[in-house]
Amino acid sequence: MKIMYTRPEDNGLSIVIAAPKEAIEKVLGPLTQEQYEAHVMERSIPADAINPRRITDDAIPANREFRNAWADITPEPVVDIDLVKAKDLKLMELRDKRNIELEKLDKEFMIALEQGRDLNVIKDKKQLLRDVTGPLKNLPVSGINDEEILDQIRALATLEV
Amino acid sequence: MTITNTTLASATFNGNGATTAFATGFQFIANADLQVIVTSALGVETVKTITTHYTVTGAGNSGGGTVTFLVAPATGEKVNIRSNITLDQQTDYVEGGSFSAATHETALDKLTKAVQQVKEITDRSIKLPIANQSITTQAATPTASYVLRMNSANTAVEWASGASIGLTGAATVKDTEFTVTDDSDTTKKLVFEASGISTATTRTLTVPNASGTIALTSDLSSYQPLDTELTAIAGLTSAADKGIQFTGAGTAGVYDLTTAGKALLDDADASAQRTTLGLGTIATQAANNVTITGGSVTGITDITLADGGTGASLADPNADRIMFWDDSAGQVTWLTAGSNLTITGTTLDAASVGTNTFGTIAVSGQSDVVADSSTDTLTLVAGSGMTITTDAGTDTITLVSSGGVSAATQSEQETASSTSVYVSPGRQQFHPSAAKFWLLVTNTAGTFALTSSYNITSITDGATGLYSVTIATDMSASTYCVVSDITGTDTASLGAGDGGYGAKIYTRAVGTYNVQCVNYSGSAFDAIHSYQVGFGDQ
Repeated sequence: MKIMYTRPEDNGLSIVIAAPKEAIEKVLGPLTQEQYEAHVMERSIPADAINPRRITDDAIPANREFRNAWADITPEPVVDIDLVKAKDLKLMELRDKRNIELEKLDKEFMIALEQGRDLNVIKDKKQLLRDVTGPLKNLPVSGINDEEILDQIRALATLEV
Repeated sequence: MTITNTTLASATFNGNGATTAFATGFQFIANADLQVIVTSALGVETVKTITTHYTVTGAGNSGGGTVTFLVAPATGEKVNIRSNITLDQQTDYVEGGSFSAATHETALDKLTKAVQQVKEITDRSIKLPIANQSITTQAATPTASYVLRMNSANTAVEWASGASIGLTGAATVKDTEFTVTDDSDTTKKLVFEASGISTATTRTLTVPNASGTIALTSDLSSYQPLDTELTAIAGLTSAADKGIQFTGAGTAGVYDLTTAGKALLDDADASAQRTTLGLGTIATQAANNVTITGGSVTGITDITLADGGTGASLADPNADRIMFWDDSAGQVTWLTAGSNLTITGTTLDAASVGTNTFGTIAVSGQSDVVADSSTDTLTLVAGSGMTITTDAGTDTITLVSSGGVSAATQSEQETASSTSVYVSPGRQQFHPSAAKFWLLVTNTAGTFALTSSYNITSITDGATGLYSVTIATDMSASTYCVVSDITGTDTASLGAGDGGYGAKIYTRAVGTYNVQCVNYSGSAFDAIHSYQVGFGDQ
């Protein structure tokens, strides 16, 4: 039994995965199906949850690459992917990767400076890294579930060192 | 004027009590030249008088004029209008005097109208065919009561006495002279026309008496001869719902035909009549052989014993009872089962009284205890660690282990100090050392699942590396302990200086807590396996 709802505090999507009825009955004793579902709803769905509704397994994306961009937008009981959130998610991941590389170059820069080597190569690499988020940042996106846009986001979020 | 209209007289009009104006249909010179005749329903003609009964318009018109009655002729009366000018000649021409064309034409008009007036009369007269010009129509001097007829040579008319043509008196026809011949034409009829007979006038048709012979038997045979019984019936007065019956020789009367009686009369047979009477099939059974199928017989006198009955009326006892003959009372009545007797279904059982309920008491591996008599006593002896108590009032024997163990209560489990009670499966989880909940969350190729758990309602996937856990039965406080571990696929984290995978437990409440999985760099990630076990007071 799975239920999705939207959190009011951050507009994110939560997916409730209930324990099997038999597992809960070991604690609470025998339950009818209605009592089981009522227990899950009462215990697991916050009072301020937005539009909680049952979903099936195939209503959830096959992978969690864009998990933080999941949203409940369309009327159908399926998990949608918000393209704006997906872009922001990949942009943040790209920045994290870039920061790691920049830290590495900072170390190289200090070593080269101590050794009196040419610093321009390192400077150029660091500039490239600073500019790496530009294309993705400038990519215009809107709507949901567009695989072509998602592919573009993936491609622009790739960091090749 | 000229006379171009050749119509001789008006049509015959039927009075209706409303119409007063009637067209002449023919041309006339002066109003006084008309004769207006009204014929009554009985055929009596009355000549009406101008001004007194009618007025005239349209004199001289070629199309004729109109006669208007002061009182409309009644229904049944007929109206005829004819020309009736005076047949004279009043125009006087003086020798050598003037010859007025108008005066001359007027005289010619009158002459023409006189001719038309005569023609109208002659047209209604009896005439001979033009080929019979040799017949002499001049008869001799008339004789009273004679009739005009052709002579035997058929050459002239003559007067003939009634007797000579078979008429005796005014209303008698001799039988020798009155013959109707049969020309084999079955459509011909001999009709005595009575339409002209005045109301209340009696006419008698006399036929021969019984000694004579009636020639027209074909007609009279369909009439019943005079009969005393029929005359009696004919004298009755008919009315609704009356039947006819003879009340004596030659006398008859009527009697009432009721609705019920008629319903029986029109039934086709006895079976239908029984149905009408509501008798049912029992009405056809013999008095000594009656069969009743279904239904009930009530209100009868008690059937005696000699006749196969009980001789008494018994009420439904609403309980299992036995019918028996109470000789002291001299009647049949209900017998009630007394103490130690029970009626079950159709069986009367007697409970054992003063006999062994169990003759032998057996214990596996032990010798049988056998009752020696119906009053033998079985004595129970409490062994070590056992107490036996009896209650004579409730007929109970209680066996209690005086030195044994009982299942620990939740409180005893939570206190965790008793050494004299045992832990039962249903309460072992209340011991402080026991896990209150546990779960395994798996992430298989991106699909989250609560693979196995205890006392967990659900997990809620909130974001990458972040989920919450809902406990089925709340902990008593949020100060419980969660032991957690996770696994991932990033082997690079193993042995790394800033640590391996970790699962942070935070925002614990009595029924929920959050889990955030982080990798070696502190970033949230989806663990492959995630384990938690909870300890604390519940």
